[in-house]
Amino acid sequence: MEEEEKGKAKKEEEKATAPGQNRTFGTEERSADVGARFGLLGKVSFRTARFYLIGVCVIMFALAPVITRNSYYLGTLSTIALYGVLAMSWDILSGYTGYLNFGIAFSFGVGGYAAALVGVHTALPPSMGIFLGGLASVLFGFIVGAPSLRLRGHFFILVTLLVPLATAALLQVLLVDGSIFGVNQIVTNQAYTYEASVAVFALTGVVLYVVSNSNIGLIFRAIRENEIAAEASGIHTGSYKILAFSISGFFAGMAGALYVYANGVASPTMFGILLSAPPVFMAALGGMGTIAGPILGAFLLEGSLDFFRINIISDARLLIAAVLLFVVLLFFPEGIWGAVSSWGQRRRRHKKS
Amino acid sequence: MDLLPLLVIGGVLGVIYTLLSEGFSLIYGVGGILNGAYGALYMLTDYIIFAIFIVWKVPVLAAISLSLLAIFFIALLIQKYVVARGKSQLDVLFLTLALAFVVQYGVQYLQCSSAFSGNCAYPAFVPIFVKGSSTILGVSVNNQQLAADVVAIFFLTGLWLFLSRTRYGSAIRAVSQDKDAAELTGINTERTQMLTAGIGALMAGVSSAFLGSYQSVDPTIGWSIITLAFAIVILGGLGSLKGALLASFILAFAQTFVLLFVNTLLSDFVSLSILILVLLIRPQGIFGREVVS
Repeated sequence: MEEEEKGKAKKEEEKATAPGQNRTFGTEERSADVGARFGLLGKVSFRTARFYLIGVCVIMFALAPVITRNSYYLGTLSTIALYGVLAMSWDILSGYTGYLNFGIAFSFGVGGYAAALVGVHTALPPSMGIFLGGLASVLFGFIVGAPSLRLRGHFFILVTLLVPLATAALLQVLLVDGSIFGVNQIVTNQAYTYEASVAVFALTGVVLYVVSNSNIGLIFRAIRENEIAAEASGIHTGSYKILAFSISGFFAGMAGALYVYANGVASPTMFGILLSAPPVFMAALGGMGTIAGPILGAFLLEGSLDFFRINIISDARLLIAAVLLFVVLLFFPEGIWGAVSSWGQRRRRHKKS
Repeated sequence: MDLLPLLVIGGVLGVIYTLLSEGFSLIYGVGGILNGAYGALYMLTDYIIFAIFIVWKVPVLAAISLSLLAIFFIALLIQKYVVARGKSQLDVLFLTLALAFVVQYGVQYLQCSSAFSGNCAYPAFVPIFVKGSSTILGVSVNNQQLAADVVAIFFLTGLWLFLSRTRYGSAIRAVSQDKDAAELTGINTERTQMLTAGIGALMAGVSSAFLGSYQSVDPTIGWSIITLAFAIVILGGLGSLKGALLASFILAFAQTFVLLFVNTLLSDFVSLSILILVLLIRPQGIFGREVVS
């Protein structure tokens, strides 16, 4: 099924990029009325390697507490889940529409601060705090995203890079140390943090899988391949870009809320470049525009960072992760998932002929 | 409101910003790529100076010269074996950013390992090598910053002469205008791009050597530097050397203005907000999209 879909998408991409062919317009028209005729979701197949990977990860996360009660390993796993959520939400915007967001820390931070405020000033349960964190992130994301999504390429990269830095600088002025303290009273139960991370991870994985494989995902990809052509074929690209930005912001905001509840403080470091960068690299390492790839990336980059902490090479764990990333990108620019699937395709084609 | 300090301090800062951003702009103009490792090169220069200075106990100026030589060749290697491999702008951006992380964590590892200092908390530093301070128009300025300005002005004038008067300079300009056409006329574009990468790295290195004495040197300083250079280059118009010059001064004066007259805490926020607003209102920058000229 997946191969069929991919084959179809690939053909369409090839047609769309072939210069000087009248058929290009025909293809665009068809991809536009996909949305109109079959609805926004269309048919989503769940029998794909990508969905299996998401499912396996969720089951693994869910079973982990049965196998080990070691709080260190569980903490590591929930960090991986958190970064997985961030990397996937980065992917749905940047991997699919091609608008590279170098400031996912903005959504992350806004979600975290909103959740901290909700937790400190109201009596709502933490789950509501997490949800409201996501919503706040969508709201602020809209204020920032709507004007900045008009920019393309490097300009969009720069705006997204600067916005979280400016926010952090503003927070330094507004709040003491720029932080909200006292959040550590809200969630003291580590098991709850773990379960919440797994739940958010599962939700993110399934929702983003459905979105990315639906007609909405097709339109996102059309924007990435050729925005003008997509526009010309009647797709209101502006709204779809904002939709992608909002979906991405919602899940990243939830991740931020989780992070705040787990760490007990909302601080300006949440807006830092060292939080914006890892999701980008996880997606690039695993394979952009695949949703499943970023999860792989999160496991490799964050997992290799944390599980080695008890090993002799613990000092070099960050270096090892960086070298791994560099080497993979040097030899497989499409990332792991892309490399494996194109290898699989080549092998199948070889068998057929 | 006394405008003299603004003029002097802003001007001194603006010249250094110019040097810093022109390197990035040059690399962008000629290669058409954003070099994510630019900040890492900046950071690496400081560390090489520090290492040579501490380990071999050579005079500072010798250490700086050796370090600049090293960074020049490192940039050539990066251009040849990393940047040239990337198939698209996106590949190159990711590759160079990944490389920047390799360099950052590599330096961090070395710094913490027993071979180097054995103590992660032991800070690296670049000693102040031009001592004293002088008074210009009633404003006290460190001599090293003045020296930085003099060197930067020499460097930039030299660069301008090099680009406009020499064969290699013409080649660089030709490649920045149209790579394929340049190749057709017999220019070795690969070598030209390597040369540009080397010059760009030198500019990062020189500003790093001068600024390094005034900031705490740690493996992450490259990120704020690349953000600054990137912002200036975008503000001026991608690949426009003139624009980068103007934008450097605008940003330097804006920062100094807020610092002197408004609120020290607000300084970062205001300069960042100005940048964001300019981007949203006039994304093509001050000088639009023109090539190196």
